[in-house]
Amino acid sequence: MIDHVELRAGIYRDSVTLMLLTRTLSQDSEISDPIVAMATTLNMELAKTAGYEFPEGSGGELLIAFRAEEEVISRCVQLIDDLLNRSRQSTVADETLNHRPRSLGRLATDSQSDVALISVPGEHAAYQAVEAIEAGTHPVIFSDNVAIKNELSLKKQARELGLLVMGPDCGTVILDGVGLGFANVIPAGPIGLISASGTGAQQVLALCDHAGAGVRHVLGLGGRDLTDEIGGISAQMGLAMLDDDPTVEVIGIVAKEVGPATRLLLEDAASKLSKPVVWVPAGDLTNGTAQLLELASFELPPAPIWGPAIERPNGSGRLVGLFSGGTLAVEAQAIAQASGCEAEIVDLGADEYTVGRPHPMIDNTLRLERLAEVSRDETVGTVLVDVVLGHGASPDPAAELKDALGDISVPIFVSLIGTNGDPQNFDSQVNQLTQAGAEVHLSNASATRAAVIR
Amino acid sequence: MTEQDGSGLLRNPKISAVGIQLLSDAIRDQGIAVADAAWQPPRDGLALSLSQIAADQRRVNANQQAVQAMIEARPEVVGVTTAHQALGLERRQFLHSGPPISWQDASGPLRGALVGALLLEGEAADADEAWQLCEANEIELLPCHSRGAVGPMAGVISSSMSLYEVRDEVNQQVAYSNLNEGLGKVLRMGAYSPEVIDRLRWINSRLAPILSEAFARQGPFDVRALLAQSLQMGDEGHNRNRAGSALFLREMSSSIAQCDVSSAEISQVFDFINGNEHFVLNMVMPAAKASADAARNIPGSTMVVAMARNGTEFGIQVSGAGDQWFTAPANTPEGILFPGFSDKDINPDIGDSTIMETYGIGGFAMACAPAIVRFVGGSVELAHQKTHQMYEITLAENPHLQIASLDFRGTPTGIDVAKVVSTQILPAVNTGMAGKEAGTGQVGAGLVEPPMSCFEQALVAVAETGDSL
Repeated sequence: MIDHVELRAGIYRDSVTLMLLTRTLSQDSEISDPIVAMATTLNMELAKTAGYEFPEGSGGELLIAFRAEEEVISRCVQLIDDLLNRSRQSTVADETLNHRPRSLGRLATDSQSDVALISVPGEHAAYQAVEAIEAGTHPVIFSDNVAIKNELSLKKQARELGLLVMGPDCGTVILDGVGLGFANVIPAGPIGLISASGTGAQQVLALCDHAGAGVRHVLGLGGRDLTDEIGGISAQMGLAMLDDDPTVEVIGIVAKEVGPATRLLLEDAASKLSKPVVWVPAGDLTNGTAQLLELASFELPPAPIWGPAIERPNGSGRLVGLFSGGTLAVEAQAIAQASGCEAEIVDLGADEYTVGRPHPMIDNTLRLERLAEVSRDETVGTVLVDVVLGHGASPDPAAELKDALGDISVPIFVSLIGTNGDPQNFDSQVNQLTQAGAEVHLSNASATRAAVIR
Repeated sequence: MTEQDGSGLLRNPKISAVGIQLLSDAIRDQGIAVADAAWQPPRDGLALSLSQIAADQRRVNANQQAVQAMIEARPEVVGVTTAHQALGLERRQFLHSGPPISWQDASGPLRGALVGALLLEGEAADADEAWQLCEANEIELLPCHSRGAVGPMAGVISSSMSLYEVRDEVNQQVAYSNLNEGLGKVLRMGAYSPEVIDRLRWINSRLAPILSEAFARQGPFDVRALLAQSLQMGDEGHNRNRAGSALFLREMSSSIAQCDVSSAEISQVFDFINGNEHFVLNMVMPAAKASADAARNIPGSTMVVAMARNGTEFGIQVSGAGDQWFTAPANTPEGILFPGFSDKDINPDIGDSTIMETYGIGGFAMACAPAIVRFVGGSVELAHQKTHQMYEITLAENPHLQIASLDFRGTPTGIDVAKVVSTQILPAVNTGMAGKEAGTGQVGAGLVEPPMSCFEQALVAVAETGDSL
């Protein structure tokens, strides 16, 4: 085997694209130790650690490194070229503009956008959002790691122009039925949400869909909007916008941490709206959703449970929860704690786990490693896992997880957060998971309670 | 954006995106169009300055004020003066193009031009003596920009040289440049042979007085109006001034013809102007300088007010950072060479003529002058592409200078260092190429890229003037 190393100038791809590409390469039996990444200091060190030697670069290049037998090198390079080119789809801008803009501001102006989805690395998100705002566009900031002072100044600036800042760290948005970020497919209907939590909103969507209630809008706020430091600037604007939209009849506020002053402010604002408002707290998403549905004249039927294909003996030992959804982990933690059960609940989507790798909702590699550890750990009595479906999420998460789940001998509970319309095919996910021995719940609270009882 | 086309945040929203491709694809999977920015991150460490600038409360108004002042300027040539008279230059003081530089660091063409200027001023009997004076630091060097002047290529201006005086009554600005000598072996390209010095003497003693008299008869000559026309006749105002020079002669011919000199001399003046398609460059440059100077010293503004090269370094000045130069080693232009020269003969980028790009034309108005792309063997599409890109790094469109082929869109005007750094798009510059060896003269013409570092340094400097967030 020989090392193939190159630094390509003038080409940029985002980190998620490159990490998924690298994963595809590592599945090729003739390629060893592939690295395809932007040549940042961090990535260059990684490549050095892997034993690659390469020329000095300027830092802006694309680094390509892999090992293979000499006769297949050119095939591998061709494969990489094909994958790199495939990841750039043609865009509206390509078709209608003479020049594809580099800057969001120019793009938003030229394409007359209403909304700008920003998912650049966090340190770049604030100035990109300013460009969007100055172009008269509502920013959706998917990026996390944005300083709170920047969030505050963005939201104040946008408010003066009547623009809603969704985020930062905004995972889920639905606008007139169009999902941005991680969003479930749900028919349009009388419910509108503002949400400080992405996966919290997705749980609400899954339950609403189960009850047959449609949701037209989910306005993401970002996890810190409801703290007193931000004071619910986006929440207040979002409430007013949903109140003005004639298609919305009932409004839900999906809330994580809420500052006391902000709570008063929002309760006051909500009391002045023409439409009823319900709080759906992160610690109890299912009950909150039931109340929301009741106000919209729907009833939440008992959240369904699909039993395991193979019953497993009750384990003795602690509960380990491996989550991709932050709010779902918080909810599980709260329920486990209240029950007095010994539990280790991990949010694998937290910053400490996502440096240099995609979010576990996109790629289950890290979770598979943790599940393998759990299968060997005799102190584990029960396993709790969330599987979040919808646009943006992995195309078939149950297929990725089923072997690892099958290797576990203790009871497994899965919160399957999805709708019938989701692209992953809900029924197939249920079948694969129950075949692997898991008990599958639509409600995360219900899955956690079941796991705690065991 | 919204109302007229029936879209809005909560109704059929139109979406643009920057960042993770997978998220855009997830929207496309729903049958919804997404416009993706072709963004790429700036160099490590610049995100903080970009964020500070973006959050700076002064920025929007400061930049608006800066670019409007430049756009609304109405520069006019009001007459011909001398460097001694107008700028107080003494016999051993010399202006040069670009940021400050010493003789020791000067490149061949600048050295050659200084030798020639010493000969012109009678300070040295021959080239050797002139060279020794320079080596002995017996001369004083100052940037043209520091004295309200601009000079193409080496940009050497000495005390006896005749200068155009350009005034802008709107912003009360004045700027100067010398008279263009023509092509080939000329002082501005570093040549100093006897024919070069003889031509400069003829310019000072014969051409300048005739033009002076003609301007006095004609009244102030509106340079912006000339540019507005020439841009629609295939010029871009920097490397192609064929139409502008012809328009100048057409408009001035009667006033020149009435001068009280022999018809042989009038004819000589006409022939000289006719034989130099860059004749008008030395009028449009100070016009751009006078316009850009009105945008200087506005706190918080990230707009470039000067880009200039001395043959060794490329330098820029930015409105919100006073007279500070931000410099980096100059790149070497690429283009078409005159017969007999090769790539190794090309000097690094030189001249104050990038004041034209600062003003929003030249490389920025390539779409006006598709013939220019032949310098780099490109297509007409490339010319349009360049201009389109320049809209991404500029603050406004100049309604007075329009691009016919882009449906009369205004030229991209007012370079924003923050936009340059965040888009990684460098200003497009068209330029002449001087020979590396002193005394060679012009070797060709082409395109050149400014160094990104100048813009990065300027960004950081303006960011530091703001209230830290």
